[in-house]
Parts: sequence; structure tokens; C-alpha cells
Amino acid sequence: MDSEIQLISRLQNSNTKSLAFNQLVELYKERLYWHIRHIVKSHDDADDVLQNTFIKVFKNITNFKGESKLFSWMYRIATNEALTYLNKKNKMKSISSEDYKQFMIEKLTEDIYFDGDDIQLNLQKAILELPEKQQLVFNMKYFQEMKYKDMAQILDTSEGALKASYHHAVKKIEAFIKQHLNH
Amino acid sequence: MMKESKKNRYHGFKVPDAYFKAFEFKNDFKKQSHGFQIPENYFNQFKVSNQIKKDKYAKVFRLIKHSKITYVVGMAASLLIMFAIINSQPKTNSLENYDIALLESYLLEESIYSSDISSLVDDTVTLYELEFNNYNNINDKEVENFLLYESEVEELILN
Repeated sequence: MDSEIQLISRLQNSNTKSLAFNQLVELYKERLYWHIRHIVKSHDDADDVLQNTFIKVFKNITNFKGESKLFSWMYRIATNEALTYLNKKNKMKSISSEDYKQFMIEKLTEDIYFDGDDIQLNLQKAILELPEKQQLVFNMKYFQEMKYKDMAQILDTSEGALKASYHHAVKKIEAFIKQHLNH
Repeated sequence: MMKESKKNRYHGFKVPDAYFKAFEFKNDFKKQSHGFQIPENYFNQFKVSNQIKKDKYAKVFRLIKHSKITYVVGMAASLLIMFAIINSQPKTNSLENYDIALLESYLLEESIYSSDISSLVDDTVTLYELEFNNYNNINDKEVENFLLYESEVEELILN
């Protein structure tokens, strides 16, 4: 925590900001990348969003008041940037949500940076069937093994609601996979 | 139970060789079980774009936001269109009404009386004579005499 306070202090000092920011990028790029990647699916999109996230962090770090952990704050920015990116792409294509899911799965299948087998592809299809927030909760809990306490700060939702959301998400995914395995 | 296990950690319990190495590997395996791959050396080569450095220089700030200009222009255009529509609407007065309205206002403004109008119709009639025809002063006897001796009303009625 002390090291985080020191890092924030250096980030908010114009003399040391640049060097501190490089350190910040090194510390968090991988975790943020994977969080973003699970939302946008494609590596190229994740790369764009990760860039946008760090740019936003750099511009707004002076306004960071320390009310939450630095990582929670960055994670929140990354989440919003990823969702905004997807919504923008969706609007540009003017496609329905069903067509959007189909498009994402096709994109994943053709993606050279996705080498998942049928089970993993079905899992991704099942995740896409969930409401947006449940997708976030499931990805953060299942793939990133995040604590509910940290998720609550990032998503601004109570731990109880998140646990319920995750439980429902798991049930729906199980049902989806069972249904598709039987076919 | 929890307290005991914590206590036992410091009492010589050992773990198999490479246990934690294997444990890390399993963690990686779970993370990679989603199927997503990344280009080689992606994280080693990752750098934030130069956009941040460019932003260090002075920006040109708009005094008035684009959205506000658009709003004002839109409002002005709406008002112009409204006025154009109102002005282009045909007036309800017909030509006949127009003439009567104009005539009435002219009469009122110029304090013109019926006597003056009559003089315009027939030049031979003098103003004095017309003033005689101020009907407020005529009594019934005069009317009767006029009808009996001056007018050709009977003839007009009979015919």
C-alpha cells in the first residue's frame, strides 16, 4: 500500500510523472490486457483498447483522489474503454445483438490468436449469451480469479449482488454447454 | 483449524521439490485455457503511443464548443424558416374586403363625411346643398312634402 501511495505521488508530480508512468505500465499492462481481451475477444482490439486505457490513465492521474485502489481505478477505466469500443463498433455496423454475437464468434473462429478447442469455443459462445454485466463478472471471477471485494470496487456493485450474478452466469453457461454437447 | 495450519507452517512442514513451480504452471494453464493467444514478445515490446507526448504541447481550445455553435445556428435557422412561413401565408382578406378596409381607414383618418363623398360623385351638387341633407335636422312634415311634391316615388313604385 505504501509503495502504491509513493507511486501515485510520483505520478502526480510533473517532474517524476513520465518515469513513474513507465513503471505503472510495466506493472499493470498484462493484467489490464487480459481483462480487456476477455471483453473484446480479438488481440488487435485489445491492443487498441489497452493503449486508450493507458492514455486515459496518464491524462487523469492528477485527478485520482485515492478513494479506491489505483488498480481498481485503472481496471474501471479499462472496462469502460472496452465496452465503449465494442458499442462504437456495433453502432458502426448497425447490427442487431443476435447478429453481433454471431459476428463475434465468427471473428473468434477466424482469429489467428485464438487456438481454443470446441469446448473453449462453446464456452465463449455461452459467455456471449449472458447479459453484459454478467459477462464481466464471469470473466473476472473465472478467468482472472479476482476477489469479490476488488470486483465490487471496479464494478461499483455490492459483493452479494456479484456473487448472485456469478452464480446465475455459471448456471446459464452450464445449461448452454450441456445443450450444445448433446447436439 | 485455521490457526493450527498457520502455526504448523513455521514448524518444519516441507513441500515436494518444484511444488511451487508446478503450481505456477497450473495457474498459467488455467489462464491459457480460454484459448486466447498473443503475438510473440507482445508484452516485452508494448509501449504506450506517442499521443501522450503530443498532448504536452499547447492545445488550441475552442472558446465556444462545437455543439453550442451547432445549437445556435439550428435555432436561428428554425426562426428564419418560421418567419418565412408566416410572411408567405396569404392574407385572409379578399380584394373586396381589402378595398373596404382601406377605404374605411382612409375615411376615418381624413375625417371625410358622406357629404364630401357625394360631392365627389356629382360635381354639380354643392357642399351647401349637401349640408342641407343633414338628416338630423329634417322633420316629418318636410319629408311628407318632399314625397308628395318633389319625388317620383309613386311612379317608381307603380312602375
